[in-house]
Amino acid sequence: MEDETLKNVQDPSKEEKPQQELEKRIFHLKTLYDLSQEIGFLRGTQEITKNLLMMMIGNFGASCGFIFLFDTSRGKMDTCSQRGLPKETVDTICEKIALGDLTWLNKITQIETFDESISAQNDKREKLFDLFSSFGLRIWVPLSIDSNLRGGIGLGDKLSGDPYSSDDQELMVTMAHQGAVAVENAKLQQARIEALEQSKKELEKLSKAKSRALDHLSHELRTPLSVIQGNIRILKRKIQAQTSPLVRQEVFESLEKNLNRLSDIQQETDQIIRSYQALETRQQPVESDGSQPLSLERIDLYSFTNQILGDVRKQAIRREIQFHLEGDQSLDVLTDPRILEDILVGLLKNAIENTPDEGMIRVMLEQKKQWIQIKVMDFGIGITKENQRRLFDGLFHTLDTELYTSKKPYDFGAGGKGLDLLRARVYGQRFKFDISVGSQRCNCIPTDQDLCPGRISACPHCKKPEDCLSSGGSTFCISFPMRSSIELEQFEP
Amino acid sequence: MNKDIQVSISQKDDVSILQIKGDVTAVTGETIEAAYQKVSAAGAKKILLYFDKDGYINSGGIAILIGIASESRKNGQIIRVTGLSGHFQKIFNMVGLTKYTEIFQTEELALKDF
Repeated sequence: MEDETLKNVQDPSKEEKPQQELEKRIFHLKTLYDLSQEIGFLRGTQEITKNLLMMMIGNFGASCGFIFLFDTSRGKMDTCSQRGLPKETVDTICEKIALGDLTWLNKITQIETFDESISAQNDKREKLFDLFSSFGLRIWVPLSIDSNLRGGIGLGDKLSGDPYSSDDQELMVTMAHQGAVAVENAKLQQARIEALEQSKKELEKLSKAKSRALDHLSHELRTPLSVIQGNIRILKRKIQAQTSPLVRQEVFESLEKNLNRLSDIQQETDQIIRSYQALETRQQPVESDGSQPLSLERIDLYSFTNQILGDVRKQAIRREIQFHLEGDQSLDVLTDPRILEDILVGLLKNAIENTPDEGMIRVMLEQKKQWIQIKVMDFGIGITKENQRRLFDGLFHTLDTELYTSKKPYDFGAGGKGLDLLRARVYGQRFKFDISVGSQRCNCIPTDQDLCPGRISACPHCKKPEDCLSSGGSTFCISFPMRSSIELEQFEP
Repeated sequence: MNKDIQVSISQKDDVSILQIKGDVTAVTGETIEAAYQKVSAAGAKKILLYFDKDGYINSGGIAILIGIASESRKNGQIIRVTGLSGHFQKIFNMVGLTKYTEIFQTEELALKDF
């Protein structure tokens, strides 16, 4: 019959000893494995050292334990943990370490045991013996992280009453090394995080300074432009009788055209700055008329898009482009119709301005998993990879500034300064939809310096329209999260 | 290792039973420590730690149990253990925990003549 208190496990027979030794070694190996799992991903020195101490106490069955790391460069205790020691004892140890001669920390490079039967052999040993032995610690493992961070782990007597064997000591050193590596990694990681946070703060400061400067510039431009506009009007009236009507008309038309352009740029820049400020403060952008758009409605996507497409086609009537609306006709989204209109018009305008005459634009509506998507696909010049990264930043034009010429909206190559895309990004953040782009630069004109003639039949690389359609293009995709039918029913059209 | 642990406290006559379900580590062991402190504060003098046979106890968890065993001695409490697998019975013996506690095969045997 089995002994009810299982005292037999305390005194294994000769036959059982090899089995017990094997189980002990398995347990020690498992401890090493668990230690790497437990402390490998910790980021705090205190947490790491505390876990290391606990694992050591449990593994060797120690009555108590103490671990510390001292920062010799700052003369300060970095980390300190204990288990099974009275608080006063720990305070005394910490105090003695902080006030004492710390040169011994560098001298101790090997494991030390405090056997009261062995007298002190040298100064180094005597100091340790005095300090730790009196508090019941029996073994000391040095812990060295770098030239500044040094300390060690002390363990008390084993509960079993056995001495610490050479195998135990070897395992303790391995565990201490594992702990030292984890602390070093955590310190490096911490230093990296601090450096990144510092960089982030500096970038934020720079970004705010940039916004303020641009805001100021835009504001400062507004006044002199208004003054010049007013003065031109006065001048126009005053010199009406003094110059020939033809000269007068030419001069004033040119003056007014360029002035209006400057004024448009100022207003657009102002909008970009406002959108950026909205992005930075995570607020919805303020419209130029001061209104705050926020009116959720259930929108029949197909008929809504069809109507917008019709309006845009009227605007681009002079362009020879084919438009196709395709896809699911039963999709509904929940958003502000003014915002959706704003974004769709912006994307279609962008597509038209980048598609040569005789080209094609497709608008596709589809459901993909939990998303309802509107894709505006053009077969135009496409965007280089470098430009794709800056696409939603505002103040961006896919043509080089030197090549930029003032054209009418919807003309090929007209393009704004990326305001529409920036606004879409701000709205997406505010109204929880996603906007993304995929693009392939036309392989006949791979760089921004290469020009598209703006008409497929005028392109030296294309023999037929299909050649252009397969050479490049861009797809902008707006993804709305799917709403449940219950949610949609609350917003019946 | 499972990071969740459940410790329930029950009473049988004058014995407080701490039923432990899950793996015992330095982190999860804090729940056992808290349960031990709770029954101690209520004046428990006889405590049975009832482990899950499938549960795993690592070195960090054993350190927690050493702490409880050591404190129970100071408090004049008797701690008994049951539910341990054969492997962990040997580990308890190896680390010297059996000098502070007694291990029993079943709850009934542990409760008998506490």
